[in-house]
Amino acid sequence: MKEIFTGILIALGAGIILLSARKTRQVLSLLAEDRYFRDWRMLFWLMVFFLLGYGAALAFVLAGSKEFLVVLTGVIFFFGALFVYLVVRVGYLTIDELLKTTVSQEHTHNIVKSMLNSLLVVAPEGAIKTVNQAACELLGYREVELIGQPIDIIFAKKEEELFKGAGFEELINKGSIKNVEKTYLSKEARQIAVLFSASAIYNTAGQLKEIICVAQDITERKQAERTLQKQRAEQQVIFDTVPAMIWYKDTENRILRLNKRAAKSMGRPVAEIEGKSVYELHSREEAEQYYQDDLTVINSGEPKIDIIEPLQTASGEYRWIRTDKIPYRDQQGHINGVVVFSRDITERKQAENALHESEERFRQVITSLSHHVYMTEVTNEGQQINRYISPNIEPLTGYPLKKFMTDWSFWPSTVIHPDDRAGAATQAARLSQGQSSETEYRLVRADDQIIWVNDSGRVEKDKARQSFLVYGVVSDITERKRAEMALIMARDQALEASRLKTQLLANVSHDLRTPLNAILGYTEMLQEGIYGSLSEPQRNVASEIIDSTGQLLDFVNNMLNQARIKAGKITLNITPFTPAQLVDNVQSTLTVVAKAKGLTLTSDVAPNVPPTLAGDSYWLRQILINLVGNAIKFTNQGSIQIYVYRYNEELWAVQVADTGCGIPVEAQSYIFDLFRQVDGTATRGHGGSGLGLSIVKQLTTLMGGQIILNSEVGQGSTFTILLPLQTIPEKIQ
Amino acid sequence: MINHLALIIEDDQRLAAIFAQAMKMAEFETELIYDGEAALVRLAETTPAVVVLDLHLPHVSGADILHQIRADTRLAKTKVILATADSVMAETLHSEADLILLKPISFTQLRDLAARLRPTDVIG
Repeated sequence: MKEIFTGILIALGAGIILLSARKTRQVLSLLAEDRYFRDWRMLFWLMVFFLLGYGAALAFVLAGSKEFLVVLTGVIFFFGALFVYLVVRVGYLTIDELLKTTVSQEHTHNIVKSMLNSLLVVAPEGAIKTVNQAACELLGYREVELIGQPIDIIFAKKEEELFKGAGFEELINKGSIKNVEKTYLSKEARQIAVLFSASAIYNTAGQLKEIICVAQDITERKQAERTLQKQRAEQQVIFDTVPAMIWYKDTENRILRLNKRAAKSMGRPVAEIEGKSVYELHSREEAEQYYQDDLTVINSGEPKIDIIEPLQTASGEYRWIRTDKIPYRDQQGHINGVVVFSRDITERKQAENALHESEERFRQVITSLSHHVYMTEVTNEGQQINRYISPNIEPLTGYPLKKFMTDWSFWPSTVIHPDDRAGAATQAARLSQGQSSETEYRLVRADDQIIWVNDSGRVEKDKARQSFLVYGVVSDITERKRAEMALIMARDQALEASRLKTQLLANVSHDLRTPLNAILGYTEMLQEGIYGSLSEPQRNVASEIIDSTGQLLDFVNNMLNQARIKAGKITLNITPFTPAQLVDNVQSTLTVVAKAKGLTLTSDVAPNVPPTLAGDSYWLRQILINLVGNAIKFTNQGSIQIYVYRYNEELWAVQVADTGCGIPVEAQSYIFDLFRQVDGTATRGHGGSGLGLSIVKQLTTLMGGQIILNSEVGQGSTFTILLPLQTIPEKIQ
Repeated sequence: MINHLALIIEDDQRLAAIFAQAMKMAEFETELIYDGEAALVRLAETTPAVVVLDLHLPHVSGADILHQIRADTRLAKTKVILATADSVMAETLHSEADLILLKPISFTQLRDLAARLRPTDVIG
């Protein structure tokens, strides 16, 4: 008995040691997994072994071998224990059941094993009973690693765990949960999205026998979904950010999709519009109008583009919209709807309108001008192209505009006057060389009328084209030309008249001087007593004759000089002259006249005056003659003195002083004016033309000099002419 | 023998007479010529001390006669008094004439000026 007890202890100890080792457990587990051990035959053979062992032991006992008995008992109990363990571990309960199910189970087992979806069978307490190949592959475990483990280790998220998760109650209540997205956690801690279903299996007694969990790997589907979502989002961004309003409408005038811009133009969010009929969103009239366009596109299958129309936005403002309506075809080519693509072109339209207005204004300005305006391009090769010809060319030339547009050479070869073509060609050549140019020429109009034009071309380099642009204005200057010619004629006539007058005066002067000379000569001869001595009254008469002759002569001289000054005929002829001689000459010329009035005429040249000075002696003499003649005229008694002296470094003074009646202060300012004298009575009393002093003044001014007048009524007058005469260096003298 | 011949070349006979009288009174022998051509003929024969020369003459102008005189070395000593009414023309001949008198010419003035031109009597 003691030996049997010892054998049991040994068997138990060996079993415990074996089972406590992980490897042994695995081996056993594998054995349990093995199909062979899982069917009834395994149990049968185990039973056979047990019975054989037990029988052998019994035989040995009967034979009386005690050592043998001990070993045998251990072996028997070991196998007995193994048997018990396997029964418990594998869970086959009854042989009946086994007998009932083994055939179909093997079949099912094969199906389950080969299922593509992962399958786990879980015991009611949560341990994994069975896994298939797909589950092992999905989770990365080997079969043995999973069997016996709690099912919840394969769930990545705590809330998704089968037993602890929320879904468990549902599973128990409903018997199954279907297609729930869960995340498995692989052995390598990878998360795997799965579509998870579970069924609760009950035994005939209504107790939960097992739970079958099926999971489909949807990681790829998830990935694809995410990619799709991303693409959708991107498309939406593009759809919403494209600077256009886009609608997608079906054939029934419903808006299926639209972008944000389109929605904004309608004043509603996208969600409020999508799926709605246009009739709900717009007035019936507008909706009809839009639909009509749609129908045209739908029926014809042809896009309708560039529909430009005003559109009232949600804010009530009207905008110019350019719309393209494009038929939307499915893959079979059926038209399912219309894509409406609209762009706000208000700014462009406004710019276009402004341009139109500006062009219209420009055109009106051009047309309202009486000038003809043109623009010609001169290419790199020197070719001339008419880029613009204003319509004013028609009234200007009488030829139709078309004629000039089609034939570049019509203007130079036909319209320009034959005599002026060379000149016009020269201008054209200058322009084609890039030089702005202006010229005048004649045109022969269509009605043979000849007109004068001014053609002014301004050249600008066109950098883009590498050519010149000539901007030209042709203006009718016929009237101006006429006026100019009339003016030229008038001038020529006036010059001729002036020349004739001067000639006439010269002739008159000559023809008067000759007889005057005879009168003077004979009277003097009478006075000199050549024809016998004269009585006192006779001598007086002779004096009067000489006096009158002198006056007449003065008048003639001054008339002639005035005419010459006025005609601008006087140019100063600066030559050396001797002041003393000049004074002498004047004195001897006028002494006769002075003597006739009983006056003394004296002259003096200061010692500081050099013997020779440079100046126009002819006109100096004239100044002196006039001053002395004037003095004689207005002096009734006393003397007249001529005095030449140096006034300062630059100026020389020629002074004529008399003892005459003097000039009132108020008259001093105007006595140098032409034809002015102190008063009318003086003119009559003294004779003279009123020219003398004016000529003095004009000549003095011409010589760059000035006149100083000192006079007082009753005290005589002193005229001092200051002249910038040049001295002549000693060597030349 | 000292030549005291004064040639009066003047187409106006009255003026010629007056000039001649003045010259005579300045102790010149006088000869009157009223025509430019005749004057040239006479100048070719004789060498006057003074020529009183008008500018406006028939056939040959006084200016031409003056040029001829100045071009002729034989007449180098001959003094020329231009007596003219044409002051402009007279100006242009300024350098060639010895004296320019603008008409009307005073009888006494001519007489006095001519007297100054008279060659001094030197007994040869």
